[in-house]
Amino acid sequence: MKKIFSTIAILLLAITLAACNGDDNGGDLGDENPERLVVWADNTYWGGENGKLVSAMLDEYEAETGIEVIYEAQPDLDNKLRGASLGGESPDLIIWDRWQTTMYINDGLLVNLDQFIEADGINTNEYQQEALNEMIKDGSVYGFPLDIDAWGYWVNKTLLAEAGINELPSTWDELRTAAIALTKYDDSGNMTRAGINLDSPGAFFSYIQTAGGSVFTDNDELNFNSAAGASVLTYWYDMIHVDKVFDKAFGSSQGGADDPFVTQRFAIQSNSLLNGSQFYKTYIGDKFEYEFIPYPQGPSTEFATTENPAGTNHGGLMGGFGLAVPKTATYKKAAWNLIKWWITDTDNQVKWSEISGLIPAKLSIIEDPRMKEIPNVRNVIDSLPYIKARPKVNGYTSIETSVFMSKIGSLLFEGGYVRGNDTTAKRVQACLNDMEQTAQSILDFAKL
Amino acid sequence: MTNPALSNNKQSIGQRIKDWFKWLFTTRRGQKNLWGIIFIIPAMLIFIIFTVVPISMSFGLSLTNMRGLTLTNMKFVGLKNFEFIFKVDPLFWKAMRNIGLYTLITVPLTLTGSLLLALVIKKPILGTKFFRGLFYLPGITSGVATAMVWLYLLNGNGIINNGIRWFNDIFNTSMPLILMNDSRTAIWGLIFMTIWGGLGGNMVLFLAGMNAIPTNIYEAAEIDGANRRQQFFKITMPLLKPSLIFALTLSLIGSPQMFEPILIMDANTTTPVYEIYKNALKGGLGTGLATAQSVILFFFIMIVTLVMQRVNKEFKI
Amino acid sequence: MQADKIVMSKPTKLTFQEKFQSKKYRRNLVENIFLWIIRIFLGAVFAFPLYWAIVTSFKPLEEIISPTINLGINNPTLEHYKYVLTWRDYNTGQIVIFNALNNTLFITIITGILNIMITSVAGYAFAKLKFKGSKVIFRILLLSMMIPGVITMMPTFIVISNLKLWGNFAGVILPGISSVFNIFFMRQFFITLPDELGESAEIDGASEFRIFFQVYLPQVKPALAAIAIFNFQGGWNNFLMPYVVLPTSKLVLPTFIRSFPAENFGQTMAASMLSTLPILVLFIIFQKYFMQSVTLTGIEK
Repeated sequence: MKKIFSTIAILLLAITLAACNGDDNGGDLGDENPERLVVWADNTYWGGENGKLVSAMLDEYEAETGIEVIYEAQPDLDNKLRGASLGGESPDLIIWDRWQTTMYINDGLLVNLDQFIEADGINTNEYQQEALNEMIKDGSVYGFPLDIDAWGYWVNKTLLAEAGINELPSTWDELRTAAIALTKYDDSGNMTRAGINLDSPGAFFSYIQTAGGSVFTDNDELNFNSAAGASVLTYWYDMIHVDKVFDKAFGSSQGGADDPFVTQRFAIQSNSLLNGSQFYKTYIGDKFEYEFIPYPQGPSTEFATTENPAGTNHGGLMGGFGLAVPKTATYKKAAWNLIKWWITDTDNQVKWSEISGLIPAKLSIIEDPRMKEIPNVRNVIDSLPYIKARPKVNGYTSIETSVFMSKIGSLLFEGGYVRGNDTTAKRVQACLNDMEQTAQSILDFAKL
Repeated sequence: MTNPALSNNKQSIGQRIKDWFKWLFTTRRGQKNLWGIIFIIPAMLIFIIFTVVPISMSFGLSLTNMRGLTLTNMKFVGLKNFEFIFKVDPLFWKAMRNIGLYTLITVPLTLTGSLLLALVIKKPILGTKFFRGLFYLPGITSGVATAMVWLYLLNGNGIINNGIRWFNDIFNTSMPLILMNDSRTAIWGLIFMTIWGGLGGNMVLFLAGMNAIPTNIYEAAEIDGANRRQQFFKITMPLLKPSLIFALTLSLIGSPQMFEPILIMDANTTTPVYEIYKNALKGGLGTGLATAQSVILFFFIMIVTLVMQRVNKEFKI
Repeated sequence: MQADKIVMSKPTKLTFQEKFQSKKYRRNLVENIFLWIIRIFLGAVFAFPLYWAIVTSFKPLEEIISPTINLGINNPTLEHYKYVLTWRDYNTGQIVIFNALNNTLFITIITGILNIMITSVAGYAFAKLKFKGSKVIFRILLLSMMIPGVITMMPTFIVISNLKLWGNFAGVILPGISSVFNIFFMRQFFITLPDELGESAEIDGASEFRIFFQVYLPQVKPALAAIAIFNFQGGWNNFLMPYVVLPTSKLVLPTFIRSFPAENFGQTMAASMLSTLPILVLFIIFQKYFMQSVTLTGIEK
C-alpha cells in the first residue's frame, strides 16, 4: 500500500514540476524567415467556403514572401488552443473571435505584442478603438482586429414592399409594425411566414442599449435590472405572445439552401453582417432584394419617457475576428510580420475587405467615402460610433450563455416565470430579478 | 517473512533499501515476486498515470481555481467551487435534471426491451442468426455516425417530425416536435437514440444468460404443468438475476455520464459531463469548477449504485 | 421366409398433412410464424435509421432538403461519395479520407496490439503467478472498474497535455493500452487453466516468460480474439480523445465524418457509410466473436 502511495506522490510531483515552466512571453521569438507558418481558425466560421477566402489571402502572402502558410480550420478552436498551449503542436497565428480574448489573456495564452508594435512604429490610434480595445489588457495589445462585424437584422425588402412598407424600419415601433405586416398565417391557423426571427435572446445586450440602458455600469456593476431591461423583454414578449409574429418550431431547418431567410419563411432574420454576407450571396442571389440593418432605435412609445423619447437611442453589438499569437508559437516574429502585412498595410486591408466582404478595422479605410457605396456595409459604418463590443468583465461569457440566453429563452419560449405571475410585467420582472441574482453570483465567483 | 522495510527498527536508509530489495526477490516455494511485478509493471504504470493520478487530480483540483489545462497559476480556494455549484450554478442543475430524466427513461426501457428482444430471438429457427446480427448492428456503428444519422432523422422536416405532425393532425393532439436545437425536446431525441443503440448489446447479454439455463429445468416444470408465463417468471427471471443486475449496474453508471452525442450534434441541451467539458476546455468558469462538478456527479453515481446494491441485498428481488 | 416379416420398417418421413394433425406441431408452426413476423417488424424498426442513412447518401441534395418524404430515391447519385472520396486537403494535397483512414488504422492497430500484450501478461500474472501484493493490487483494480469515468476524463487531458503529448498520436494511444477490464477478463481465462502445465515446464527449465508465451498463451486464443475485437471496435469508433487531443491535420474517421458542412447531409451520410464499412464487414464475418465477447463478459461478472 505504502509503495503505491509513494509512487503516486512522486508522479504527481514530477508532473507538477514538468508543468512549472511558466515563462512570461514564451521564450524566444523564433526564426524571422521560417519555411512555414501555421495559421489556425475556428471551423464554424472559417471552414468550408469562408476558409477559401482566407486561403486566398494567405496565398498572396506566400507569393510575396515565399513563406509557406499552412491554414487549418479547427473545430472547437478554443479547446484545441488550450491543449496546444502546453507545448505540444501549436499554431503560430490564430484567427480569433475577439470577444474571448480577455479570458485567454488572463489564462496566459497569448503573446504581448507591445514590443513588436513599438519596434515597428505602429500607431494603434489608426484602428477602430472599440475593436482594438477588445484585445487590450492593462494597456498592452495582444492582437489586432481583422475585421469589424456587427449584429442586426437582414430584411427581405421584396416582401416588405409587398406589405406596403417602403422604408426600412429604424425604430422599435417601426420594426413591430413591419413584423406584424409581414407575418402570414394560413386558414387553419398555422404560421406560413414569420415576420421576424426573435430567437436571439443574446441580442439583449444590444437591445438594452437601444432602450437607453446598459448591461454594466462604467464600474462594471450589473445594471440591467432596470426599466430599460424590462422594456426590452416586454417588447419581445408581446411580439411573440400577443402579436404572434414568431414561432420557434416554425423556423427549424437543415441550413444551407433550406435556411428560413433564404426560403422566405422568415421575412426578417437576426444575424450578423459576417454570417450573412457570403451565405446569402450564395444562396439567395437575385431571388429577392434584401438588406442588412442595425438594431432599431428604441424605446417604443409604450416605454418612452420625457427623458427618453421613443426611437432615440442607438445600440448594437460589435463582433469580429482578430489575429493573435499564441505563447507556444514557434515563429513569433514571423507571425507578427504576417499580422503587420495583413492589418497595417492599407492596400492589403482593402484587398482583404474586397475578398471577404467584411469591414476592415483601419480607420482611414472605414472613413473612406468608397466604403459608403457598398450596400450593407454602409449601414454598419453609420452605426459604428454606437455599437459596443462585448464587456471584458470576467465571467461575462458565462453570463451571456447561462443567464441571458437560458433565462430569457425560458421566459419567451418555454413558459418560464409564469407561476405566481399573471401579468407580463410581473413575469418580466421575475425574469430580470432571477437573472440579476444569478449574474451577480457568477461575477462574484469569477473574480480572481 | 515480514517486510523489514515496515519495521520500526532504527536502521540506516541504505540498509532499509537493501532489505526491501531482498524481500522483493526472495521467493518462497512457488512465489515469484520478481516475475510477477515485471509482468504487471506496464499495466500498472498506465493505470497509475491515467487512472490513479487523474482521480486524485480531480479531487485535488476541485479545491483550486485552475483554468484550462495549465497546472501553473492556480490558487487554493477551498470549497468555493462547491459553494458556487450548490448555491448558484444555473446550468449544472438543469443538466442534472436532464440527465435524471434521461437515465430514468433510458435504463428501464432499454433493459426491458433487451429482455423482450432476447426472448424473441431465442428460438433457433431459420433466420435467427441474421436477425440477431441485425439487432446487434446499431451497437457497433460509431457514435459519430449514429449521432449524425439521428440528427438528420430528427430534423424539422425529417421523417420523425413529419410523422409527429401527421399524428397530431389525425388524432388532434399537440405533441411537440423533437428537435435537436429545441432545448425542451432535444433530450428526447437523445433518449430515443440511446435506446435504439443500447438494445442490441444487452440483448446478447441476456441471451447468453438464458442459454446458460439448462433445459431440463424447463422440461421438469412443463411436466409439472407450468405454463409459459409461469416458466418465465419463476424460472427464467430469477436465474437471470445476475445478468440483470450486471446490466443494470453498467447502465446506472454509464447513463448519467452521457455527453458525446451532444458534442457531436451540437444539441441545444446540456448534461453534467457536458457542463464539465465546457467549463474546463471551452473557457467557461474554469477547470477547478469543472473538477468540482465531476466530483459531485461521481458521488451521485456512487450513491445510486450503492443504494441499488443494498436494495438488491435487502429485498432479494 | 418368416424372418422377413420381423424386419422393422424404417420410419418414413411424415407428410406435411400428417404432421399437421399433431396439435403440438400446429402450435409450434404458429409460434414460429408469429416470431418471424415480430422479428421482421423489429428488424425493420432497427434497420430503419441505417436504411435511411444509406438512402440519403445516394440522394441528390435537392431531394434531401425537400420537405416531402420519399422512402425511395428519385434520382440516385454518386455525387456525395465522389466528393467524399476525392476531397483533397488544401495545404497538403492529400486525399482527406485516406489520411483519416491511415490515422485511424494506425491508432487502432497499435493500441490494440499493445493492449493485448500488456493486459494478457498482467492477467496471467494475477492468475498464475503468486507474488506479494497480487491480491491487494488486483482488488484495487477491481474497485477501479466501478468508478465512473467522469472523474478521470478531464484530468486525463491535463496529464496528456502536461506530458507534452498534445497533438501527438501517443496522446491518444497511451491511455488506451491498458484497460482494467481486459486484465480482469484475461485473468478469468488463465485461472481456468491447470497449474500443472506451468509446473512441468518449470521443471524442464523453462523461464517464466517462456512458460507464459509457449504454454499458457496459446490456450486462451478465443479470449484474445474477443479482446482484439473489443479493442478494435473501441479504437475505430473513438471520437472524444482524437477530437480533443489531435489537431485537424491528424484526422481520424470519427472526426472526419463530422468535418462536413451541416447543410449537406448527403456528404455526412456518405462519409459515415464509408467509415462504417470496414467494421461492418468484420462484423458480418466474425459475428460470432463480436457477440461472444459480450457474452463472456456477462458470464464472468
